[in-house]
Amino acid sequence: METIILFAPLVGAILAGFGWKVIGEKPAQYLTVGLLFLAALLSWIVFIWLEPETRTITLFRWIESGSLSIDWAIRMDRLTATMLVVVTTVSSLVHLYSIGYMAHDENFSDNEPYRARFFAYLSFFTFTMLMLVTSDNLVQMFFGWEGVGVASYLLIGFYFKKPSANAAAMKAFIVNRVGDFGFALGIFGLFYMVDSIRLEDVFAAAPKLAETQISFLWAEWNAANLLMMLLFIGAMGKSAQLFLHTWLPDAMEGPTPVSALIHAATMVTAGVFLVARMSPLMEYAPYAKDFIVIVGATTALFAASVGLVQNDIKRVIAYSTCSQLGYMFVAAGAGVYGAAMFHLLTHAFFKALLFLGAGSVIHAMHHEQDMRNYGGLRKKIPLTFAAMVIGTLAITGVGIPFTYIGFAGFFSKDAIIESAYVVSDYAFWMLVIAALFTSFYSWRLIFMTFFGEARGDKHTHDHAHESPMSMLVPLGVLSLGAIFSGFIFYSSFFGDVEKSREFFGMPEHIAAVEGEGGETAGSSHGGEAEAEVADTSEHNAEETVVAMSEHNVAMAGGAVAPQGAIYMRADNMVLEEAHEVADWVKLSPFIAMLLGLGTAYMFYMRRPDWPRRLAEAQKPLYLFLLNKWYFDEIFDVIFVRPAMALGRFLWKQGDEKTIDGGLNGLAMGVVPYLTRMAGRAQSGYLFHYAFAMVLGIAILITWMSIGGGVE
Amino acid sequence: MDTDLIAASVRASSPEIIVIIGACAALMLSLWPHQDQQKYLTWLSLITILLASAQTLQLSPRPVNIVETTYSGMFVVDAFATYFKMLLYLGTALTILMSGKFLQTEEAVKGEYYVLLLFALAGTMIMVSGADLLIIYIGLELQALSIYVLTGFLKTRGRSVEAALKYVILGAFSSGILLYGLSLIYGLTGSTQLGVLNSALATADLSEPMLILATVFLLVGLLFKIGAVPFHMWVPDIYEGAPTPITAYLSVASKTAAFAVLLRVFMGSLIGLEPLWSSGLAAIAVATMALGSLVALVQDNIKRLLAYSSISHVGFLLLGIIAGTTSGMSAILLYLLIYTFMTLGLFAIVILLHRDVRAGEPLTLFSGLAQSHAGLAFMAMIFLFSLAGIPPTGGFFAKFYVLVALIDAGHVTLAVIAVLLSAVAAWFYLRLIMLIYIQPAEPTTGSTAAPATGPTGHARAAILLSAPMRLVLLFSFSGTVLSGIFPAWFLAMARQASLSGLGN
Amino acid sequence: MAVIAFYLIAAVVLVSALSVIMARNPVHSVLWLILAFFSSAGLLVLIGAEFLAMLLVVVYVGAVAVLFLFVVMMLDVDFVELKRGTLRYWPFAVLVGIIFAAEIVLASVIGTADMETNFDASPGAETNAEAIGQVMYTQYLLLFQMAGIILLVAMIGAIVLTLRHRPETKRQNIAKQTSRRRSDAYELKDPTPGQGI
Repeated sequence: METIILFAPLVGAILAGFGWKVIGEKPAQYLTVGLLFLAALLSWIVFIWLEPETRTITLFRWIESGSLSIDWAIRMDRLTATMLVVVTTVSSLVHLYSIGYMAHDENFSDNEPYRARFFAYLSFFTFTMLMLVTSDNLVQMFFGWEGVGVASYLLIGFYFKKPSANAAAMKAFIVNRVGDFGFALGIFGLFYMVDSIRLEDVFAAAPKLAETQISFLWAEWNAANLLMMLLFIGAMGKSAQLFLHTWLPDAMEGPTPVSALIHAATMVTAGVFLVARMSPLMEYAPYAKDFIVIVGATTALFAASVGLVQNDIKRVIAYSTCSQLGYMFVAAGAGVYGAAMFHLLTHAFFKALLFLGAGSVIHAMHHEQDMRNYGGLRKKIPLTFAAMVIGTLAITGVGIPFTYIGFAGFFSKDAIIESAYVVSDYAFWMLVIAALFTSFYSWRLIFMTFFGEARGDKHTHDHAHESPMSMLVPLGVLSLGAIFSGFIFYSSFFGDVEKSREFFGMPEHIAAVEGEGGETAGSSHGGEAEAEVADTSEHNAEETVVAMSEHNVAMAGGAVAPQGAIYMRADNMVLEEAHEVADWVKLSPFIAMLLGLGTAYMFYMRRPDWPRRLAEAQKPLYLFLLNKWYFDEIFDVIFVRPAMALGRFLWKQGDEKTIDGGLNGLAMGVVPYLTRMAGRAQSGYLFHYAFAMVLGIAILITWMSIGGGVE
Repeated sequence: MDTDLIAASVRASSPEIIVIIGACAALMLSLWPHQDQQKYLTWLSLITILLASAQTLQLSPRPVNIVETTYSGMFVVDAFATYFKMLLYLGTALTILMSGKFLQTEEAVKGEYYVLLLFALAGTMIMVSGADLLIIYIGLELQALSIYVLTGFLKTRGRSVEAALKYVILGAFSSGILLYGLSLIYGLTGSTQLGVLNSALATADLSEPMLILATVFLLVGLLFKIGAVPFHMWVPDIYEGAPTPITAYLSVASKTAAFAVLLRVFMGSLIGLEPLWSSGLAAIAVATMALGSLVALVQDNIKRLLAYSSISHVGFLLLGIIAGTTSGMSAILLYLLIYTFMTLGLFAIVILLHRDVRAGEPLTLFSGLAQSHAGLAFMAMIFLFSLAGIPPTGGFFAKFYVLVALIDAGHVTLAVIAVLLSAVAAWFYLRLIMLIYIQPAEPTTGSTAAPATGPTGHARAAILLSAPMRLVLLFSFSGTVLSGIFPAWFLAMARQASLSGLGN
Repeated sequence: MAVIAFYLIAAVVLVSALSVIMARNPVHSVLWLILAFFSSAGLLVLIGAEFLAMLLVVVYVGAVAVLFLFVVMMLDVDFVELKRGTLRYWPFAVLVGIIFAAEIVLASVIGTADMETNFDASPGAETNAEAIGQVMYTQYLLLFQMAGIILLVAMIGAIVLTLRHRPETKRQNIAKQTSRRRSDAYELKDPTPGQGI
């Protein structure tokens, strides 16, 4: 069943991508949609009837070389199941939505076949994303990781005739490369230390890693911290965290369904998934955890503050995504992986809803994206309006404090803020302020779009129309998710400690706390492994090299990986403590939300002249925010221009002068010289050739006579 | 030798006999005047190859480590030979499939073409099954002679005839050297059988000059066949001049068989002399890779470029022999399989783009292919990626396993050099990809130019994808891709073949 | 005695082989070649392989060399002109040639391997011819058959490469003739009277 889930999108992608000429464009679309719905259905079945133990389904042996052997396998546990549900559900709805959204496109002329290509890309993306989340080893995950990168590149640049889309696609790809480099280094490091890249082995070796020092960049590091940090750099790239976030807003150049699927619900959450997946390692990397919390909290505030002043409807939501991802990282960094995954789940629903709603608005307004040209649309597109409001209620976390009544965001966001309060004051205040900003910009979006006077092109407004059914159905389904998903899953993911342990298949370990203050099952196994190592190295005392490699093997093989989808050390009490926080802490996000709503109401409903006056009064601040804290400009000066200069230098000096020069036979340098010599010897005369052979024989005989005699 | 033994021998060599009978039948058929003669010949040849491969598989030893030696120890049937024979069937069959179209454009449709290809196949089969230096030599000559003629098959074209002449003379020269080495070996050991040599040379004195001479001459004779530096000089000229399908055959099947012999002789019988030849061979491997990669950078003829590319691949393959281990050998076996796929695929595309011999095959043939034929362009890109060794294509794993074997055997420096040189080689493959995807098609000049077609003003005559061509592309493309996705499966096959103990 | 004869004949072989490539007149080259064949046959007689010696004389001298002579005399090739280009490389080529020759000579002088004991011209038989006859179709069956196939390929190749159809001569195209159908040859028209076709 898992195999079907994994490969259904691939089959769809291949059939639609290569076979649409045979089966036709329309059938290709419906085929991919059908396969995705099949996958989604099966995913839900898997999710609901998931057994507590982690299962591994080996598909086939993939790469084998020395001690490196990689299977292509599916690791089925709660994390995977959750991601399967998120990915396939959102993806299938987006596929369906795209049928309506992509029906006509001004970027392509009528007879250009672009639809099948779009669906093939979408399905291909889904496949690679599934490959990422189901992998049981890091190499497979890396392939999925790169695969989603490629799919994202293709989809952002889908309007390849628009230079801005091409630039955005390149930017996304290159910025992600930076993160991927960290990720790859992390994998190499793990393989170097553990001699295996299977997650099982890595997890088992985690306690051992925490006690090992490795040198990297001229300094000694704690292995677990360093490796987790490197992996997190990969996550930062993919999840658009601070410093590597610049690609995400630009990625909105892609078609809106793509933004909803890739840049809101699924791909960008891969980083969060990675951190949660690596939780057994995370638990032994305290510095990395702190780092993640700080980066996450700062991103949450930064992105929310930029979101306040953006005018492009999709960019507002993009920054909102960036900010919400920050929330998830705070939770993951705090050690409450359940809360991170919970927010990931709810966020997938309401953010996809917001994006698809925005897409519906854009569709209605003939691809106008500037909110200043909207206004008063709630009468024209009432259903979209309803969906957007539900999404906004969910993202701002509307609910009644101290009860179990509220929208999805109410549960997940509050859970994160409570956890953040336990680990760090900084993170807590950042997140609360970010919640206020979130509320402000989300309501601002609603007010500017749906209320007030119609602004902008009159003709466009007159022709605004509700979207077709294929677009409205996904909105409806997602609305249900945005309303109920928090309520349904709250206790499993976060609310109830016992239930969530069961949910994630973690063994009881409360009792262990009373013992030796945090000596866990995993690390005690590690100790045994150490004893074994000592044993074996005695036997092989004369072969130190062998002993070394066996040491590595023992590190991976001797210890046992902790059970369960996520792992929390016995001394990690954040989850428990988060439930015990003071009432004002629990109330704070609610107050922040109300404040944001009130301000937005004042600014955009009652006194529409206030925003302008405030912007003029605080011009530097406004420009600072409008220009996204000048990150792009700073990066441009620090990285892009020097890189361009270096590239130009290499091109002019290296390429043109050295290599192209070789073509003209003019240049200096060894390569062209050798090439020319070889070229001259290739004279076409037989006796030259025969002579070269004789020369070769003579040299060989001499060589062997001397060399052979020596040996 | 009684009749039972002879019967067993005949049975062991039945695939060869099938191929030779097929060749004779094709010879008869080529005298039967009929319009669809070429079609029948193609089918006859393919059926012959299919029958032979079925027979080979049927004879294939189970379990794999069994070695059946027949014809008084001259001929072996083992897993090694079986693997190589299957490889040769593949290479030859694909060559035959891609020949039809080329011969038609060149107006050189003749039955003898297929006959000679089948004879060449028989020769290569004898080579890989030979357990005696004499029979190996005979197989090599049979193969070489057929290919000499095929190289000059376009006898109205100067380049083709010139290439054939050069090949004959240099080939005869190399055969002479090989024979000289063979006779010295016979003088030293009193036998030419590989199994006997193995034990006779196990205790040999490595500083014995006659032994050195014999080793060098044997080595050189075989290195000529695979085109290693400095015995590579014939390669670019002959590749350029020969009819393109024959070029493909030369760079694939011919080389494969020569490698089989090299492996069987040097890693089987002469393994005792390894200290003698391994350093020299390492130097040759590096020189071969370097020269192949560097000179390819400045080629402007696609066939010459592929010639140098094949030279640099040969250098890489030799590294597997230097590793001197079973894993090195299985890496070579895997490499040859993947190399067969990707090279034949690319040659098939060259043939499709080919207009006529007078126009030559400039690199610009490829320019703008992406606009006119996106599918072909994509395939070409995959083949080129694979040749350059970029994952996840098969070519990456081919190189990867050789490097792993090399490092395991302790030759880290060589591995580093190999990686650096393959980075150089990647450059010219990428240049081709750039031509395909970025460069607009060049307006064709000269009287043979097809009129401009299509809205982009693209001057390329429509490419007719005949069914055989489709089949070639399908085979080679799926082989290249699958070996990149499931390398372990292909490696398992190669590993099994390399465990059979080389017939002694 | 045999040793003296060997060196004498071997010297003749070497000198005549050198003369083959040095002679200015191609016809002389072929004559030198015939001498080289004869002397080689002499060497074979010395080691007791008289049957092979006879074969060499009959096949190579009697057939191949004579054919060469005809071909060379019929072709008007200016060998002097061909060789001119090579003259520039003489010094270097001679140097390498000397090194190469020196290595081989040195090897045979220094070498300690006893090659004579490994050789028997007529194993298990009285005469050379009988010995060959015993193994030709048994032990060396495969070699013999494959050699035959090589000759077949050589014949096919020679015919393929030399059989030339001159465009100006009119020839039958049998394939075309036999595949000719009535429908290709004429067509039926139904002309309206007075209008023609």
